[in-house]
Amino acid sequence: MINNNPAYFRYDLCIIICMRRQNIALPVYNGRIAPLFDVARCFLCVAVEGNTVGKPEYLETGNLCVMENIELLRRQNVGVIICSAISRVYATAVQNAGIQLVHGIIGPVDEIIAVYAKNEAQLWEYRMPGCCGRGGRQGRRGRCIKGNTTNSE
Amino acid sequence: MNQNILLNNIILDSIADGVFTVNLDFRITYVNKAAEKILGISANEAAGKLCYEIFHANICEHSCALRETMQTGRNIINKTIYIVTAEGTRIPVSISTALLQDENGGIIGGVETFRDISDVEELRKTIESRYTFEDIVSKNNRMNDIFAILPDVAESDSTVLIEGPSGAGKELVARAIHNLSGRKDGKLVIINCGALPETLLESELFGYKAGAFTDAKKDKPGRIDMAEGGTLFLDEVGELSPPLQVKLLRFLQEKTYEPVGSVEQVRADVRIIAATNKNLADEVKNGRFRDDFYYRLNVITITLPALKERKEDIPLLVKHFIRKFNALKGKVIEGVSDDVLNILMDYEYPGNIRELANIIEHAFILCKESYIQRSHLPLILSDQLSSPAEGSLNLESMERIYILRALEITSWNRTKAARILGIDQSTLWRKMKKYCIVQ
Repeated sequence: MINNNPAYFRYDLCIIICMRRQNIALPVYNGRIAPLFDVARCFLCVAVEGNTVGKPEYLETGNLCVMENIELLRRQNVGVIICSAISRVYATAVQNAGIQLVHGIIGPVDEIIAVYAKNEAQLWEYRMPGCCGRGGRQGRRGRCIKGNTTNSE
Repeated sequence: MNQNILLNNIILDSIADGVFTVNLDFRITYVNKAAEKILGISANEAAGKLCYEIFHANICEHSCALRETMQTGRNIINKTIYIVTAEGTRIPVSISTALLQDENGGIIGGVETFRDISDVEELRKTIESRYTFEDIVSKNNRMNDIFAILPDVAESDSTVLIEGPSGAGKELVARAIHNLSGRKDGKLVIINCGALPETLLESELFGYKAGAFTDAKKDKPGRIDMAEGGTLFLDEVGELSPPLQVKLLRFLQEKTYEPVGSVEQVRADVRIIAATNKNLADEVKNGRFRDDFYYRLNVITITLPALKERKEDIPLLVKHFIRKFNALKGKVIEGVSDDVLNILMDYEYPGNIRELANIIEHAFILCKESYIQRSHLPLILSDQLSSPAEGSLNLESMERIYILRALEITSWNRTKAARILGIDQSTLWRKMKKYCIVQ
């Protein structure tokens, strides 16, 4: 039976959004987020659906330039990039490619993926020193996770 | 022992270079005050972190200098790299690395010192004009769209037409395209089509043969020849006469041209980037510009917005110009007062970014303090603010008033007036003719 209560439809929509499959990519170096997106050559790509994390796959980009890397990730249907430092111009390029950017994150990639799948807001525990300034303000491009620095190592 | 460490820390905190030390696992054991300032971090949040997670340099991942020093024992001195801050700002730095050893000579870690060389880099770029699209300062959506296509545009080797008002940064975009393209090792040759009479422009563009005209004693290569393997930037292309449009059309189509006084075809491998402050489509409609030439130029069109359409960029641009003029003039001005920023945000900038740069440069001459104050701004800006009655005039009337004022202030020195207005001398001359302004 079709329920015409608008509240019912909103709740339904929320469930659909939460369960949406999302391909995420993280530049990787020694099992951790690579120090600088601009020069990263290896990306870990994984599908996240609700709390479930798919099989991770490594994408080696070799000598491609950063714009080519972004294009490659876009063609791989990556919807979210989680990275550490990124030059402003490339942050813009990522967003212009229709990819959501979560930057200013450091730490082991497997932990970060698990935290992202469970509760994205908790990524603030992994933010890089200096991120969002002392007052925890919004990043210039994309989302910069707010909060205190208590990166787990 | 503790006293020694304290003393060392006091000494390290007193120097202007950033210093950090790491243990054998590359975890931070010490960060001095200068490093905190340059990196925008506190020593507490850095302690115990992996060095590449506080110092995000382009070499960390593939050619870490500290790792090299700790593996080989060889110090690295004054290597130029860049780091990226949490805000996404690139800072060029010069780094040096050395081993940390205990009293028995055992290696206990490494030390890296780094110096912010933004000022030196700014000077180098100004001298060499080697700007890339990373040097175009903007967070405006329309500009971001342009950034997104610029690398592809540069790579394509197609003819590019850059449209936009005077002072909007057309030349900077042309330089960025050239420096991003496969022709970057060739020359970027610039010619202003509005600054030269037709006959002179023709010989400048195509060169001439000896005997082509009186005083042509020997062959002279043209700008096209000079740009071989590189890029020719035709500024103010809308000012080209129809006969020259035909000659350039032929060059665009066949990549060949005839020097003045020659009957031989010369082949040239030159990419054309043209710029205009006119709406060339309108010029074509009105019969003032050849349609075939327009369609040849209009392969890729980049339209730059006027500064008044991207006012959100003004604080960024002000910061950029202050950094640039600090480097060029050896000053240490921190910024502008809130009052000045409000004035700058309210202003309409008929001369666009060039005018904003001139306003900041003017303020730099007068400013002896840390912050630029209202009194340091050019008179023309204060006059504009104090005469609201003129706000009811249309744009052309306002432009005429501005030009007249600038000429009066400079005792009719057109070079100085053009500088105040933030436009080229040739543009000023054209506008003076348009508005029938005579001394």
